[in-house]
Amino acid sequence: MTLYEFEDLLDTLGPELDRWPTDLRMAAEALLSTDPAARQALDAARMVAATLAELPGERASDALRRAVLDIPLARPRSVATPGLLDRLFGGTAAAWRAWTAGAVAASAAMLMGFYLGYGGLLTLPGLTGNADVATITPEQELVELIAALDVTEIAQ
Amino acid sequence: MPTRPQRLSRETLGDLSDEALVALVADGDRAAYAELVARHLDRTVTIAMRVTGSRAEAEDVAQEAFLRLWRDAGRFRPEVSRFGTWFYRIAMNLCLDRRRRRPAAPLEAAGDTADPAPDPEALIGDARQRTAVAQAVTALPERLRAAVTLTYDAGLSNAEAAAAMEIGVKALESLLVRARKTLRQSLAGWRADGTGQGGVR
Repeated sequence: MTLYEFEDLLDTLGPELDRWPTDLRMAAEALLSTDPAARQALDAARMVAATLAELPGERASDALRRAVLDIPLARPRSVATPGLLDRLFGGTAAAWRAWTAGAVAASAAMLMGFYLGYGGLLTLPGLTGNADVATITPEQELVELIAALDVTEIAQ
Repeated sequence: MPTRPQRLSRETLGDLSDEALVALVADGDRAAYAELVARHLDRTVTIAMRVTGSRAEAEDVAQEAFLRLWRDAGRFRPEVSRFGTWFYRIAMNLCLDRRRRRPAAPLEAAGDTADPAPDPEALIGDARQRTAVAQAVTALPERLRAAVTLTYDAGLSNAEAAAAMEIGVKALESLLVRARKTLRQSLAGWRADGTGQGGVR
């Protein structure tokens, strides 16, 4: 393993040699035993890895904290509470929506019934005027017989 | 639609996730907003400071980021991303926009990194080491610095940091490898006691 290869592996696999594949680790340890530059690279990589996670953090200044906390006051964006008109018309609107929904449903049913009946697409026994003779019910037959009787014959 | 209590106590807010708090902020809840400020303001300043290298710009970025949080909370989609990914992407984009707008500044103008409070003698070496690494991070090229900052300072996973930078995970990992290489080379030979080969190169 060359120093260049070792450094590439350091940056890719990290400085914990125990986590490297065995063959790479053994080659790296052989290089480390003979090359001071490899040892220096390993030290630097370990330092970077150990320190990056604990870099000193910054603290916001008090002025910034106040300014950030004041943003909602400077730009109020609360959800508006319903006013008198909203409440009044809010209730009416609900009733109006319910009424119109019912009216629309009833109108649709009427239109559908008219379409089916007028178009002759549906026949109701005893109610449909142009129903076939074959579909005449006994009740209809009786009504027709009574109508056909000669009333004068009955009177005699 | 489910209703929510008109006012939640500070303790209750403290138990909520960031994502739940954003939902309250979208409804105009200032207490939920204040809780998010408490959780994320310092970290936002840290990230912005690391990327812009300027305290003043970092504070401007943080203020603008929280303004956008307050204004655009309704646009956050918890089913798509975590709060941290969404919010730090906003902060990172603000940082990068500022750097693109200004001429390149010399490293000396980048400002000092945080100087921890006076350390006990035994900790001086560690503190100097952290300062040296922080300076080396500040000197990284912009995209490498953004990758390092989102991963280490913001604590995002590789996938989240990649999403925040709007790049693929492989591309982010490549940036991190290059960043580690640059840092390692910068810090080779550095010694906390000053007896090494002379600190950050």
